[in-house]
Amino acid sequence: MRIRLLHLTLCLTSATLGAAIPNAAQSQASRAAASAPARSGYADVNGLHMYYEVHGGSTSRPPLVLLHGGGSTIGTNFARVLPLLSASRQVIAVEMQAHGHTRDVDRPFTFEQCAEDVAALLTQLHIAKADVFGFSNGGTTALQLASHHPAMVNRLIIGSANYKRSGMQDWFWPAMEKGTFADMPKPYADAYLKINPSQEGVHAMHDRDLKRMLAFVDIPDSVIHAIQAPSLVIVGDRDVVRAEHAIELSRLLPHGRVSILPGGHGEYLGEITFPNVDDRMLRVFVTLADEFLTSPINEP
Amino acid sequence: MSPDSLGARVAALVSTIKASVAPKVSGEPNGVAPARAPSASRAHAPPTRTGYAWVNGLRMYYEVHGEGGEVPLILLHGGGSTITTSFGRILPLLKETHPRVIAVEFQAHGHTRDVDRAFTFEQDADDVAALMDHLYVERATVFGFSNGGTVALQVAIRHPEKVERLIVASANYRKDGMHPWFWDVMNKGTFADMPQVYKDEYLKLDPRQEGLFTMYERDSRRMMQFEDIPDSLIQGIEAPTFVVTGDKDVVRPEQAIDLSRLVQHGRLCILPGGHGEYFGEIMFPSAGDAAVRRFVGLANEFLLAQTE
Repeated sequence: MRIRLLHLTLCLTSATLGAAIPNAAQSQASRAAASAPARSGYADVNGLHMYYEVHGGSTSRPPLVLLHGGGSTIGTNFARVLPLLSASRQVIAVEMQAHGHTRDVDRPFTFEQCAEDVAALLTQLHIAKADVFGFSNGGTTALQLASHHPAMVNRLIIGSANYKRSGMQDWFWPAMEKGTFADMPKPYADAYLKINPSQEGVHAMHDRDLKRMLAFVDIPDSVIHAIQAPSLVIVGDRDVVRAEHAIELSRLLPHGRVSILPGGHGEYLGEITFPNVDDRMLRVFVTLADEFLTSPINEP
Repeated sequence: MSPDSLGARVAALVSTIKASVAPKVSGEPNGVAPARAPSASRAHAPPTRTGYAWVNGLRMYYEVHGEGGEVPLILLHGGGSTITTSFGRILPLLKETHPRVIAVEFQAHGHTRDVDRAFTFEQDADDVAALMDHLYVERATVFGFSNGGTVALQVAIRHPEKVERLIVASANYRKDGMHPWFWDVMNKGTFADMPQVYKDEYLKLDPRQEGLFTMYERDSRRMMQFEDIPDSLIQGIEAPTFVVTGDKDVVRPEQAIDLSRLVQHGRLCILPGGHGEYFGEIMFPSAGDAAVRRFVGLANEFLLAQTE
């Protein structure tokens, strides 16, 4: 869902964004390089050769698994918050089918399949239970993971993700219908090509994400309502995901909380398309996430 | 979210602003009380100066923290409250980044005695505007919490030239901006339901029981008579407005969304917690410093942001 809409988001906010995006991409890349993973590797899961990174050593807290959004890589979504998040816990980040280091395979590309891949990876890494933070399409995958593998999910953070078509702003779907590869934000294409310099690969990523989004099927309320993991739902006040949807999701989840932060889709994360976000804003997100993940469960 | 889930805490909190059969107080003293020092809980953030200003027939208490800056930050407390109960925790942090912070106590609250005059959000707003004139403050950023947030909206509506930016925290502008159970609780509540900490803080400033009753009664009646601010008035607000509420607040997040969209330059922030928990209101002593600082950081980001 990051493909066309981000182009629109950028158009809408370009006046305030200021700095040129390609420069931002470079600075993001250098940031990512500055926080290299402790180790990285590939796991063979469900026929996929899946890339993952492990940041930080294991701690008494459950590891935190990061699931990126559409058109994205670990770096484009998480480069800026990853060092902050991994300061206090082990962080495991993955790249989904057809994204970043993980090549596409001849297999349906669905949220459910991505969730299965994450579950299989965790099993291979001998991780019985993890906290999961999914951003955008990664948030939808995180919901599927919690639904299909409840025992593996300790707590959930759902960032700027929809579980129903109606969760997106009205303009989103017509824009998606018209989306083409040319609309993909350049930092996304650049980030992909830096990892895998294949035009075929970057087109496959785009086409996979666009097709999956156009075919988006609502997750039934009953499925969401059955998720027992304490969950924090986050969106921006100018997000492509509607604030009302975030509130609805947080209420449907039996142990849901919600935060709405000023900004666009992923701005609170310092996502690559928001190069001007300052560190203070990142700390707002990181402290919210950290407090949520470490707070005692005190459901009334 | 059910009334039970919010527990006695919010029920008690909202009871401070509800109609009741509280004892009638006769012979409302209109005299001048000696200024008392802010309570011990704020000993670490003493005001630069305090005073009373005659505004619209009211002898209104105010505090000035710092003398710098062209556009001060003005703090407007909630129902049943004082400067200390609403802002005692956050004030020292605000002072770190705002060269001048002015806090007031409304009619019948804290140091400010009641007078024989209607008690309305509009009147409170006019009092704030008159106090600004008294202090030669042309424009200010106004941060109102709860009923103080409703007052802040009225300041922006009635005195737009005086308002640089607005922070409207956990405040409603429509009756349906509150969770439906709120009005049920209001109908049933009595003075006995008012949180003890509110009573204690009031009595530290004015040890008269009748003054405390009056505050309670004034706030309760005003809330029970709450009338929606018309959308058209909200839409006329040009000052950039930061709308904040807690995810377990008595104010419905849907109304916060509406408000942030109705004003001309609105931003929205919803933070985990109850009514004022995100900035350490006195009912939430366990709120972490990090959370309070986070709110201050968000507020400052909003205040520094360029207007579109």
